[in-house]
Parts: sequence; structure tokens; C-alpha cells
Amino acid sequence: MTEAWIQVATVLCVAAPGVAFALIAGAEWMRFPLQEREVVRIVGVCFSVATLAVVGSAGWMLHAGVTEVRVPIGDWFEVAHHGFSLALVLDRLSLPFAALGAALVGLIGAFSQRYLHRERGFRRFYLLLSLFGLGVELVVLAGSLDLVFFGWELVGLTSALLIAFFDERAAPVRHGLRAFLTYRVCDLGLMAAVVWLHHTVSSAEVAPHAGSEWAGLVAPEGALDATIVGALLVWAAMGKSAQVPLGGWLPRAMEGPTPSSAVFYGALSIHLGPYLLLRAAPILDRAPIVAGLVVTIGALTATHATFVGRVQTDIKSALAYASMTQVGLIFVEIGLGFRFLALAHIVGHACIRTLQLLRAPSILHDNRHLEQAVGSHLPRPGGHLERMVPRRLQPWLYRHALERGYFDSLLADGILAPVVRLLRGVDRVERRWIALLEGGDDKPADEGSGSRVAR
Amino acid sequence: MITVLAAAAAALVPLVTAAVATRSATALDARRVGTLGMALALSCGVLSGATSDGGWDAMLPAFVAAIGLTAVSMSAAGNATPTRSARILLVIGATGALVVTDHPVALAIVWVASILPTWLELRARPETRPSARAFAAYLTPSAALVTLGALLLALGASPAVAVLPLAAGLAIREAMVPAHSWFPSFVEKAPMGLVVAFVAPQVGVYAHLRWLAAGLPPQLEDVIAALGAITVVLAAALGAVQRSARRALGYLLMSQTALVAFGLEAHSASGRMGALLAWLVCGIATAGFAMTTAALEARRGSLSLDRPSGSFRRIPSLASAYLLLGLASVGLPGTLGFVAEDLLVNGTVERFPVLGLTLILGTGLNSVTIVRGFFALFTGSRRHAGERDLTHRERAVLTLLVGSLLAAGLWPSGPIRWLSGVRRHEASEEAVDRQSSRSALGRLEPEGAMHGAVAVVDGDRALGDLFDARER
Repeated sequence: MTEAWIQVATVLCVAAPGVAFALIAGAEWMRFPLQEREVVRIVGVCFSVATLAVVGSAGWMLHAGVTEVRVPIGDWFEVAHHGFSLALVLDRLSLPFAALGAALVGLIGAFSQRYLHRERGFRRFYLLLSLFGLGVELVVLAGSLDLVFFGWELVGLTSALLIAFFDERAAPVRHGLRAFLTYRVCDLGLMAAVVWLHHTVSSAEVAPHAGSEWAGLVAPEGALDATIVGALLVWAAMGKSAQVPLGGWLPRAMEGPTPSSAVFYGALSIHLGPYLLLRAAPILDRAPIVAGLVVTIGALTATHATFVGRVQTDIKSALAYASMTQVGLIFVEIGLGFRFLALAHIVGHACIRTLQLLRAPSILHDNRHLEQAVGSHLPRPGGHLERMVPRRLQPWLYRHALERGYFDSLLADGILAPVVRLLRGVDRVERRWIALLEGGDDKPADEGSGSRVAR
Repeated sequence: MITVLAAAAAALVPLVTAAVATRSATALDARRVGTLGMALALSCGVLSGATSDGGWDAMLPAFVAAIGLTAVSMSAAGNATPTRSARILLVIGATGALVVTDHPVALAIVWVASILPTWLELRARPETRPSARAFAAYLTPSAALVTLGALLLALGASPAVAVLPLAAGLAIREAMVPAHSWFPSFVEKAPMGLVVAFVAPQVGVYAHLRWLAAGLPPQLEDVIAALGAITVVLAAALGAVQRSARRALGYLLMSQTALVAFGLEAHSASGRMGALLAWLVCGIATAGFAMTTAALEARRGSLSLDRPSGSFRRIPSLASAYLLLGLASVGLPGTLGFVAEDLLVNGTVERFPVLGLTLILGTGLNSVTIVRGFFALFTGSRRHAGERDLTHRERAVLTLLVGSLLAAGLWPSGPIRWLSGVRRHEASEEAVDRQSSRSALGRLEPEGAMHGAVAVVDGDRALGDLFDARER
């Protein structure tokens, strides 16, 4: 009987955010705009229910000494031997994430009531926040990598749309598109990993793993297959967690509203990469090359971000690089096999960074108060690290940090721009060929929007 | 009997409506008549599907009618003529007739009949007359090849000989590389309602299933699959870098069409089911997406992706529909597109491991095209031209499309069972059981195997049979 209640509670963790999203979206589409208070109440109630459900489940599991609860909901669809099973897993890995996710989204919902009061995109913010909450809960409670992908996509989409929240300005929109592009390129890795796991072990389920602290993905037998799947998952995690060299989108993502920056890039979305790697622990165990790759990427990111973060002139960018540094360190911990340490690091970092980001808008006010109390300018932190760097290296490092390690220009000018040029060249050839067939000038006058169109 | 009559009515009603629409005084009246006619055709199509025993072809009349309703009811009436509405209806009527016919010669006739009104409409306007030449340069050989193949089949020639011209004709119509150049230009310049009516039903897929499913030599299957994969990726990449929203849409449609063609060559039940679902999803979602683009174009003029246009706050519903339908066509979680993509990729990777994975790249690039279009067309600027949000008519049609994609996406077992023809299989099984018990000959084991919620069945026209014939 108790187990039945736990199963209901687990389903509620996912269903409650879904209900919040459906209610707000339905009302918007049917042109029945809800009042601000009603929107906040819907989100508050649904995420409170989700938080209570996950905390209650955790309490029961602690009391009963149970380390894992599996909730099979059924087959969503199945054709021949390929099926998409809906199963949720509550264990020592998913519980902290699920609790953190539901509680933080609920808190951000409450915080934003005043922060975004009378903002024109108020309801859109809550709509996307609910969808994000649903995505996060699906990712962390998923009993299979298929379901992880489902939630992962929702998180990516809501992230891009919230970065572009202030839709009448060009920069947020540009940055939202950049984030979406990075996500999509990296999501290819996750999708390919799902397919490759189905191909090699006929399952992408999260299953109990001997010698592991929690359930994990089933690792392919062959070392090569395990390495391929592991590398694909690392690629997916790199995009979501803004690791070198793909992290250029993160400081730009701070163009979104501060509450969403806090919950996405301080707490939840940024840590989904490490979460994925923790679930893939059996694969990392079987593929030491991939574990080494995780350590290398993490160490490079931590070093890069700590230097670049020091030259930022606005608080949100500095916090973004601070997040990147910590997530890099978490990658190192996971690659070295310190998984409980990584989990504790994630929870602690998520809480402190969310608080810092939420306090960021009032930091000038705070600093003025502090300086008045101290009677002088506040001391600049981080000087000890700078003193450790040889003087001759300092200008070079400063320039390197200002240019953000040249990674952005390398990706944009070195890779993306030539590809775009090539593709536009191919398209030009297509146009000339068709112009020739049409019997006109073989050089179309306008390749943009001005071509003659019959509406 | 009701099933057959309703399916026939779904094809005939657009033709009759076309005749009425031609006599309308204005384009507005023609659109009104066309909308009513297509709503009636859709009702007939749904009735036909509901009274049938399922199978991959059971819902096709409703599918074509839904696309027709979208194309007609959301067409801009501003600079249109009643004749244009009539021609859109004619294309839909011919397509509706095509999907209820299985004789090769009849199919070839309606195939040509669906091309002719499109070409006439292109020729009718000075600005699209040059496009009519390019259209004819590609579609005339396509029609000739399809007719030749159909005649060979009707005359009893070896399927191995007949499928060659057929496959070539279909490849041109489905805009497979390298016979694709007409397509982006056609989508860019032709009236959008006509584009949707001509392209969205993807009649090539139907013809592929009817004519090629059992007769393609394995080498040709591999060639089609390879061309399909190349088209998916190339078109998706070209779409992502376009400066014109219309041309980007053209490449998107081309990529999605090739995705289905590729999936049809998979030899696994999941791959085939994925291809069928992708066919239906792409048809419905891209029809809605294209007509949403047309609705914006009618309000704003030419749509450029080079500079941000803004207006999201003025037209939130139109913008949301654009994003939702676009992403649904490329596998947004929660819609039927996600299910189709999952089945398609997992089902094709066994036979084509590398090519199967390229599909992921193609759909990823297509989603970038859609989100880029959304940001460029609806955000990034304070300017607005006082556009109007969705009208009641547009909202009703889009609600129908989005609602069906979401409902089928959240409960995909229903459509999958339907497309597998489980009801048809069960009905034939019951008949066999009754007959066996009467003759006391004992129980017959069905050849198909049930797998949980879905069955791969051996019914008359059921999916399993169609493809298994090729495997045998």
C-alpha cells in the first residue's frame, strides 16, 4: 500500500509541472488571459505538490531503508521489438535533483511575482518556467535514456526562449539563437547515444549496476562501443553544461530575466550535464578513455573560466564564469570517480549560485551599504591568484581572458563562417540553374526576401 | 460500404467545390465556399476512417482533406482570384482520388491531373510565369516516367522493369537530390495555398507504397536510401542558411519529404512505422507551418530572415503557432513528430547505421531553421506594422492541427495500432475462427506476431504485408 503511494507521489513529481504548463498554455491559446496572481498560484501549487511528493518519498525511503524505487508506468508506444517504456526511478541520485528542481522552480516562481510584476511577458515567463520544470523532472526521474532525451529537449528549448525573453531587443534574441544552436549540435550526441545503445544492447534503460551507488545506463559489452556511447554522452553534456570550447553561450545567456538565469544557469540546467554523466557511470567505468576525456574537459574549463571570469565587468557574466568553473571541477570529480563528492558539490553549488544570481540586481545597493559601514572601498577579492602569475605572463593572460580564450572567434569565424559561405555558394549555383531554366537572367537580382512572390 | 462511399465523397467534394468556387464573385467568396467544401470533405474522410478496419491507407482521405482545408481556408484572399481557390481544390481533389485508387493507369491519370492545375496557376500570373517553365521542365519528365511505369505495370511487364521509370518519376516529384532544383524555387514563388496542396500530401510516398513496395531490387533500395539521406542533410543545411523565409521553408519541406522516403527503405517494422508516422506528421505540421508563414506574409509582405522584424507581442498566437507547428514537424517532444522521429531513427539504424545517424543531423538542422525563422520574423525589434493576430477562422484550423498532433503525440499507441491495421487483422482473424469452428478443422494460427500494444500484421493491405512482400 505504501509503495503504491510512493509510486503515485513519483508520478506527481512529473505530472504537477505538466498540469501547470497545460493550464497556462491552454488559457493563453484560448485567449483567456489569466491574472498575474492566478498564474503564480497555479505554478506555486503545482510545484509545491511536486516538492512535497518528492520530499515525502525521500522521507519514506530513508525510514524504510529503501535505496531505489522504480515506477513502471507502461509502454508509451511499441512497434515490433522497439519500444519506448515510461518508467521513473527514485534513487540516491535522482532524489536530490528532483527535490532541488521542484523546490527551486517553485521558489523562483514566488520570487518572480514581484520581480516581473507588470512585465508584458509575465505569463510567458511562467509558461516557460513550468515547461522547464517538467523537462528537468523528466530528465532526473527518467528510467531510460529515451525519456531523458524527451526532457532534455524541453529544457533546451525553454532555455533558448527565455534567453530571448526581452524580445524587442536584438541582442537577447541573437544570444538565444546561439544557445539553441549549441544545444542542438550537442543534442545530436545524446540522440545518437540513445540509438547506439538500442543498437548494441537493445536497451537504453537505467538499471541497477553492481558496485555502483545508484542505477545507471547499461554499458555495451565491447570497449569500442562503450567508448563511442560514452563520447557521445560527453558531447551532449558539454553543450548543456557550457564546457570548453562550447561554453561561449553561457555569459550571453545572462541576457534573460535574472530569475530564469538563476534557476537555469546557476542551478538546474547547467548541472544536467554532470547528472547525465553520473547516470552513465557504468559506461565511464568501461571506457577509461572517456573518463580521461571528462577530466581533461573539466580541468580545461575550470582553468579557462576562472581566468576569464576575473576580467568580466558585469556581475552576471562574472557569476556565469564562476558557474562554469565549478561545473568544470564537477566534471573532474566525475571523471576521477568521486561521484558522491560530485553530487554534494552539485547540490551545494546550485543553492549558493542561485542565491548569488538572485541577489545580483541589488548588489550595487548592497555594496554601497557595505562601503558606508566599512568607511572605505571594499577590498578586491582574488588578488592572491593574480600574484601567483608571473608578471610577464599577466598582460598575455589578461588579453587571453578578455578575448574569452579566442574560442568564440574560433568557432564563429574558423568553423561556422566557412560552412555558411560554402552552403550559400551551393545555393547560388541552384538559383542560377533555375534562372537559366526560367529563361531569365542567370544572375538573380535579389537573393534575399525581395524575390517576386505570389501570395 | 459506408467506408468506400465516404472515401469517394472525400475525393469528390473538393472537385464539386472547385466548380462552385470558379463561379464565385470574389476570392473571398471562393475561399468561403472552399472552406465549407473542405470541412465537408474532412468529415467524409474521418467517417471513412472511423468505419474502416484500420490499415496504413485508412486515414488517407481525412489526411488529404485536412491539408486541403488548411490550404484553402488560410489562403490570403487579398490579391487572389476565385480561379486560384478552384485550382487548389482541384489539386486536392486529384490527390484525394489518388489515395483511394490502386489501379496503375488510374493512378497515373490522377497523378498528371494533380500537376496540371498547379502548372496552369503558375502560368496564369506574370510574376510566376517563368517559374512555370522550370516547373514544367522537371514535372513533365516526372509525369512521363510515372505514366510509362504505370503502363508497363498494367500491361503485365516485369515489376523489376516497371519500377525503374516509376522510381525516377517519383524521385523528381519528391525533389530528391539531384532532381530537386525546381522545388525550393517553386515554394519560394508559387502561391502558398497551391504549394501546400501540391507538396504537403507527399503523393510520392503513397505511390511508393502502392507500386514500389514489393518490386524494388535491393540495389535500388540502397540507392534510394542513400539519395534520401543526402537530400535530408543537404536540404536541411541549405535551409538553415537562407535569407528568405520562403526559400528556407522550401528546403525544410524538401528535407522532411526525403526523411520519409529514406525511412520507407528500412527493413524493420519500427522504421516503416516511423516513416508512415513521419509522412502524416510532416503533411499536417508542414501544411500548418507553411500556411502560418503565408498568413504572416499576407499581413507583412516579403519575409526576410536577415533582419529582425519584431511584433511578437502584437501577434503572439500567430508566432506560437509558427513555432509549435514547425517544431512538431521535426520532432518536438509531446507531439506525434517525436514518436515518428524516434521510430524512424531507431528503425533505420540497423540497416543503415551511418545513414540512419545522418537523419539526426538533418532534423537537428531543420529545428535550427525553424527557431531562426521564429526569432527573425517575430522578435528582435520594437517595430511593428500593426499586424492582426490570428482570425477566428485561422485559429480554428490551427487548433485542429495542433490539437491532433498533440493528442496523437501523447497517446501514440492509438494511431500506431490503427496504421498497423490491427482491427483489420482482428476482424479477419475472427472470420477465420468462425469458419474454422464451423468446419471443425481446428484453430488457425495467425502469421503475424503481436508485440504488446502493437502488432505487425498480415492483413490484406496492412503495413506488415506491404513490406513483407518485398522481404519475401
